[in-house]
Amino acid sequence: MKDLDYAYCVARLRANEARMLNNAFMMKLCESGSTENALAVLTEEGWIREGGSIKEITARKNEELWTLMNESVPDKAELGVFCVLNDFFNIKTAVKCLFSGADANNYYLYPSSVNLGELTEKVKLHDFSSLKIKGAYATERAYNMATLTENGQSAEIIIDRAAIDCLCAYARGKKSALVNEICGFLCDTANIKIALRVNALGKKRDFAEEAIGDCFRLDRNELINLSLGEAQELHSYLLSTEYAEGVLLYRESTSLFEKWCDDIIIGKVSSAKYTAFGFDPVCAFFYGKQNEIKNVSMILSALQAGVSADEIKERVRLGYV
Amino acid sequence: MDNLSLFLAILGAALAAGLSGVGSAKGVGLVGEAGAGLLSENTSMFTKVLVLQILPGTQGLYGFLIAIIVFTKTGLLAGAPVNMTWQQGVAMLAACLPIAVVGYFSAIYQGRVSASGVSLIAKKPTELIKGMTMAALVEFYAVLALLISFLAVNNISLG
Repeated sequence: MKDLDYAYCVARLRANEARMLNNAFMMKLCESGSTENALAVLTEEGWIREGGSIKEITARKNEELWTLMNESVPDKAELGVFCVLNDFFNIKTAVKCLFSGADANNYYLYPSSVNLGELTEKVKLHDFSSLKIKGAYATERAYNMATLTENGQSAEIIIDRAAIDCLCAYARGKKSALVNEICGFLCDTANIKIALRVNALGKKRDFAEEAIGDCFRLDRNELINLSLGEAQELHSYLLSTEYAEGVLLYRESTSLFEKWCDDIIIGKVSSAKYTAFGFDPVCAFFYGKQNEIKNVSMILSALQAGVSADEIKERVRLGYV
Repeated sequence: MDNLSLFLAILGAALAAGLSGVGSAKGVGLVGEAGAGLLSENTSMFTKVLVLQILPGTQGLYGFLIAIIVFTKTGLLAGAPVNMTWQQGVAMLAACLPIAVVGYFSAIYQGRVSASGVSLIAKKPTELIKGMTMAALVEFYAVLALLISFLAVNNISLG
């Protein structure tokens, strides 16, 4: 696809950008006092057209976003990059539910580029070879491992590792520099979280090598070696990288780390506000809108739980507009 | 008038009308695509989109105008070609080239600027004038090329 092939798509997404909620609106939402008031503000703004629970509203907004993306982009296959984490989560769910007997449909995440009905069926039938998805091989390995060890954790590790490797492959692709940056960032931060957990739990080398995937800007071997040693050395290494700020926040809380990750991604995509054509504005819109949905969902849930406005504000992610 | 000079004059006219026409079609098409994207979200923007879409279409008209002048000057339009030497045919061809080349490229670039203008009014509907002004600056060079082609074709003395 050439940049100019995105003319329709970019103009349509720009029109939607104009309706995105900005930081000032998010702060106003935090101060609304109750979920009911917040829902009224969102309805007045035109953000919500139908009622429902927070989960239903979030699901509907995610579905709307995905429909818009599918209708706008010249080649739907390009949207696969936005579904990597959900796709692999869904694969993990399909395998785990097979062993637990739970209905996987209740746990699947959307959007997903995988046909979830087909995924459930094929996993049930142990027919992995005809599963035409990126994680087919990992699914089979995870299934075999879960059967062999009767341990769901090892299956999870295999699939999570496949997700990281898939992200890293996108990060090294030639599609767009912005996609490379974001996928590389996601891949490195996922590896950092694993390395810190490996270190904290005192796991062995086999585990670390299986769990820590390809890295984009980090040295994988060093990360593995340090995760098996002293915590101080691992922290010193991580603090010498561009992820230092995130590592410091991770020490405080994982939710602060997640917020930092989302804010960094928004910072990276912000440059695409001034790009006229190509995939970058598409990528920027997707992450911007996803952040907006995440923010609204978080604010509504926090208001429901009676969290104070100041505390909610601390957790609000940066907006794209 | 020999066949070669007639051929060269017609070639010049064909390049002027053809290349700038293709450029305009590409430019207008691109703005149309962007416009459709905006209109699918907000149909009230049709008039603004139309204004931006028209802009890259002018180069095609300029090329067409030069082709008509060439046909008139050489007598092809009246069906009675005037006598020309091959040098005059070459001169006629050369005179058509500015609008052919500049028309082609400027229409495409103007289309890109206009399509970006569509994105601009998608976010800020009141900023149409700014989008138009930026696109009109590209037009300036097409107008210069038209002027040069027009003066050159008009000043070639035939017969």
